[in-house]
Amino acid sequence: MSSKYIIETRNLSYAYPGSEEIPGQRSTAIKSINFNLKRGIKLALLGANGAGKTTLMLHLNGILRPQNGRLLIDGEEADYSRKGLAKLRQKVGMVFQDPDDQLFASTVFQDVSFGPLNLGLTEKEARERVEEALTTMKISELAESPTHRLSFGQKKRAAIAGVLAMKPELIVLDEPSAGLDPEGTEQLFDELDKLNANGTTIIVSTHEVEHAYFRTNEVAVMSHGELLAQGQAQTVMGNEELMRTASLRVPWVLKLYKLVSGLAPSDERYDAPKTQDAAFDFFKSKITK
Amino acid sequence: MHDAETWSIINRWRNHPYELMLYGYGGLILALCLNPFRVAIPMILLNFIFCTRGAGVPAKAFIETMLIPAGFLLAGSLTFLFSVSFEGMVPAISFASDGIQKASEAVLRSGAAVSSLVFIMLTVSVTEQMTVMRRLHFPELLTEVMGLVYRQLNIIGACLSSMRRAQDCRLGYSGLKNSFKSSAILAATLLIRAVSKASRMEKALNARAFNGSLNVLNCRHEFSFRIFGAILIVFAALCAASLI
Repeated sequence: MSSKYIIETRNLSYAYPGSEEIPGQRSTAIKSINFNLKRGIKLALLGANGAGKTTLMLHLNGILRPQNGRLLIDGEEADYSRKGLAKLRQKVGMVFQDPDDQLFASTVFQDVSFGPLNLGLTEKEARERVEEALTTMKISELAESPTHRLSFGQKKRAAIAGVLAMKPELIVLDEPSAGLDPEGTEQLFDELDKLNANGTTIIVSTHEVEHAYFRTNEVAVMSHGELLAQGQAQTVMGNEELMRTASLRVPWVLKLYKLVSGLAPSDERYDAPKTQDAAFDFFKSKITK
Repeated sequence: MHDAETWSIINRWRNHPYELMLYGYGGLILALCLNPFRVAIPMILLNFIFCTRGAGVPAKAFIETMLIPAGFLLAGSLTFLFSVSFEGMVPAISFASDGIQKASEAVLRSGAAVSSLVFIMLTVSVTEQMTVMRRLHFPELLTEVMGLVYRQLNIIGACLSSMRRAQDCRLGYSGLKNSFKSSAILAATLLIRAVSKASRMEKALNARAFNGSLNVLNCRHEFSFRIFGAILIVFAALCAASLI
């Protein structure tokens, strides 16, 4: 643990082969990304469709290799050898947007056990990890269920359990709320909060600005393959011009805060409420006055 | 109403796949080897009773699942009733002297064998069957491919039904011409979708440190020596009925 960052990218660039030949496609998926993440943070990676969020995430787990630039894990250059990749994937777990891409085994128990066994754990250790992950995601009763018989929300939970069972230090979730109903989304973010409280670093890609604002510590905004900004949610997401450039919406709480307080993120006194409770208290006090 | 696969997952005996497979496949072998005139009907009845009263699968589900192979079986057995001779210029068709004997033997033997397969189908899920095969040290490659094919069939099936629905909503199956056209497009697109799906699945496997082998753990199962003993007694009784 020589670096204060669990993961860093330096001038990371990647273009999908042949994409320049397809009409309407940009030739570069991500361009010169300089991104870093402190241990224990929960970060929202924001961007419109096609901004390059998934491409960046696939680099963090070693699925894609940078064509230019570097990926650093704990301050050390990523090792793309077979052994190095196994180590990287133990450290950085990736949950895909569509759980059907991830769930390959016939039952939930089998699927969740796949990762731990690949790490070389014994059957006993792997079994314990599976049971722990299923309990964490509250799907123990689904252990024997065939994966194709699950609801979408259950599939999402099973897919996350499959990654949790590998005990990664960083979990990268690609659009975890896509396809979930509001209650399912809230429950999922509650589980992520618990994992984060236990020390797991989390990156969530999304374009749902409210969730990103209220439920993460930090945000990074991407647009057209570039990282436009990274920092505290209040400052980054309160920047209307930046959000417009990224084809994103400013969260309602920040719009309202600006209207009520008359302060911009550049102002020293700017202190927008970060939680929903704090926001309600703030606006209630203003209304009462 | 649930389909056959659902019953195999939710039936009362689902935690005893070893015993059920022993009974089902053992019964299949006995049905093929023993005298069908003596054992076939008792076997069909036993399979029906165990499946419905024991495992709790509705009688309707058992009968409906039996009906499809029974249709083929009866149609195929009809050929035993006739014989064709080519002695003259025109082939002559006549009733075969031993036709009824042969047809009833085929129907009874195959019926008993099919009822054993239906018993397995309704009481042991495909995933459990694969688990048992792994435990019995069937080749790893065979069970892995079985598992992947089973999963892919379900994914492709879901993909196929959603694509077909999308075509149907836009009058893709109104009229014969449209139906042929839509079916052709569906078949062509399904292949592309399946390949794309396979590629995404490979990425997801790699993300979990895939090392070339699909190692997974299975749930623990109960094994009842009482059921095992009862199965042996049933088999012994069937053998005795056939041989004595």
